[in-house]
Amino acid sequence: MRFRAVLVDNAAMKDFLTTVNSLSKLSKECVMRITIRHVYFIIPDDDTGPRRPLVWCELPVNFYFREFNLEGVSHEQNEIYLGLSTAMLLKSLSTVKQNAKSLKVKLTNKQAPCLTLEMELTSTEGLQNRHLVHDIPVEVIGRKHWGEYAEPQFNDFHVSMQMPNLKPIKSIVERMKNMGHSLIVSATKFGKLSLRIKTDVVSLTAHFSNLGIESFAVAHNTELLENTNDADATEVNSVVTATIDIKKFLMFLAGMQLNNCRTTCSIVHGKMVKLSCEQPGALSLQCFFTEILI
Amino acid sequence: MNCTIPGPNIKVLSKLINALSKIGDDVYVEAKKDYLSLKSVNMTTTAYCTVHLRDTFFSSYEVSQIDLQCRIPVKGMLSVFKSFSHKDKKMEFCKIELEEDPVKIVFRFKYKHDVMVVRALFLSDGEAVNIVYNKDNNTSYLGATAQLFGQVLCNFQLHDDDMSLDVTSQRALIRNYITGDTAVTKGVRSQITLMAGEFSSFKITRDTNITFSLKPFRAAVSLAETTTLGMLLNFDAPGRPALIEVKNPTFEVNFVIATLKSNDVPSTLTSSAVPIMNDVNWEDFTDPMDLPEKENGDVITRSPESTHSTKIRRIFGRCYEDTFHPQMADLGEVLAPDSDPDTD
Repeated sequence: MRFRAVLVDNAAMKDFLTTVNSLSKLSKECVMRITIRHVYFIIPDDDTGPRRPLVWCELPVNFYFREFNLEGVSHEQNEIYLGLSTAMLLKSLSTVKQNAKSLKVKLTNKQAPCLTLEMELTSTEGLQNRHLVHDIPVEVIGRKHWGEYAEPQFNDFHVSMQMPNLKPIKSIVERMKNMGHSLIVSATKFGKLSLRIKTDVVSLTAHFSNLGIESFAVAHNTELLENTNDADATEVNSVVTATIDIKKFLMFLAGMQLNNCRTTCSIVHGKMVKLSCEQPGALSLQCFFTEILI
Repeated sequence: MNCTIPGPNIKVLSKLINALSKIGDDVYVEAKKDYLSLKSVNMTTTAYCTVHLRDTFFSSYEVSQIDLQCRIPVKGMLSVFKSFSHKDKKMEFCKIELEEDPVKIVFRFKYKHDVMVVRALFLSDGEAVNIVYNKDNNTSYLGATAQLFGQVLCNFQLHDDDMSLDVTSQRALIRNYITGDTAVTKGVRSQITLMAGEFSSFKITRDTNITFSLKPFRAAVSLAETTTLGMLLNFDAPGRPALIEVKNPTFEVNFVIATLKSNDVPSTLTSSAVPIMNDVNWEDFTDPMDLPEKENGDVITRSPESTHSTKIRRIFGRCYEDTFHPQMADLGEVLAPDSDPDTD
């Protein structure tokens, strides 16, 4: 297994750093999957450890890396899976802010498998280059565990809509967090997203309207129609709801510090909410929240 | 002893005391004829910091008894000088008084509009510390602005303890140094190479490699950064103390740090323990790289403590342990030994 990649574009390096920064806010550890076209960062949904959402982040190779060489575990499965600490990666990468000329990432074996980051920095006097090397210890994940990190394939969402600006949502949800554990996310056909918490004492809802809807499937409502009378039918028809853990949702909002990001919210009624951030051609980050049972 | 410090220098004094506090728990004050000296030692006596405030630092400086010494807890000093960030503009001067055979040290702060704050700190008992170091013993030095060293320090993780400095006549290589078994698997190893041209002064008599603790080094760098002065690092061979100087016409600060005297720190660039730049193979990808045994796919060095295989052990760890250890409680004298022990 060999891996070697070089980044020379300063903007790409800064974007990479921002992505790793966001990931480090979501979890302390992640799995890096390297394939010939994409580099993925996966945060598995671990029920035993600290609660964190399942995150799937995809970075296209040709946007970031000028050179990319990969030889995976075998010819048919040309991939490498590495487990590493996001905090270590972030601290080591943060030097790219000092105008690094180039960054080389490679997999090495220095008494244990390591991800080596080599950076060429220009000094402040501009005369000579500094050479900086970081060795981050990683864990190589064997093929039998690859199934745990498979790409989540959920395409039948009941609704997919654009999210409004994340900052006001974040400040509202932060206040809500103190009052309850679960957040009820619902969306209507007419472009209205509602975030609601319900306690014994109070029910608090925030509505965001005039949002663009990408898709809305009405078929699921047939089973609901049997249980409700006709007067309510039209209203029930157009609302899709799911209840998620408010802390995980807040972790995602706190971590998302990316610019130029188009955020989409997709809901499966009663099952799951998926939030995805996309920078076309550069980054795709998906975060899955499953329904919690109170 | 009576001395008066003008307004702007009080801020400088508080920064100096901050640096002293990072080293040790007590400040030893000695009033000499031409200067006031403040010293601090760390607990294991591996790092010392001495601050000499010349009489030009003060607007008036009188010493009646030469070699007046006292020892003050550093937390007290910090609290006296700490609350001044917002009152800076209104501070006019500070008068420090120390009597003969002192019991306490008195600080009188005068602000604008005739406001006077008096703080008295009681002194601790104890022997004065005698720090002897000979600057001439140090044959090599390198100096640079605080900014350069600050940038170097950014590369190290926050919990790193030691750093090692490898110098030749052309360049300096700064690495973090991790001791013990955790070295390989837990910590990030970082190193940065600085060419001789980046330093403002660079004189190396022979190629050496010294290792010392990061804590006093960080304290020195943060002092130099806040006072925007340069730092000069003097050293000799491993085992001999290294000296960091931060100087200004009115005061000078010296940090003396002990260096590790060890044989197993790799002294040459090409040593295989920490391969740095294997010029041979990192350019040409088709040549065998650092990891020859990875060609067989899964046959790779077993990552120690893989969480996948030991998840059960981690969660149910306590179930695997014995529930009773004889050492758990002090059961006193054994009056009758076990008649039927399990193991014969």
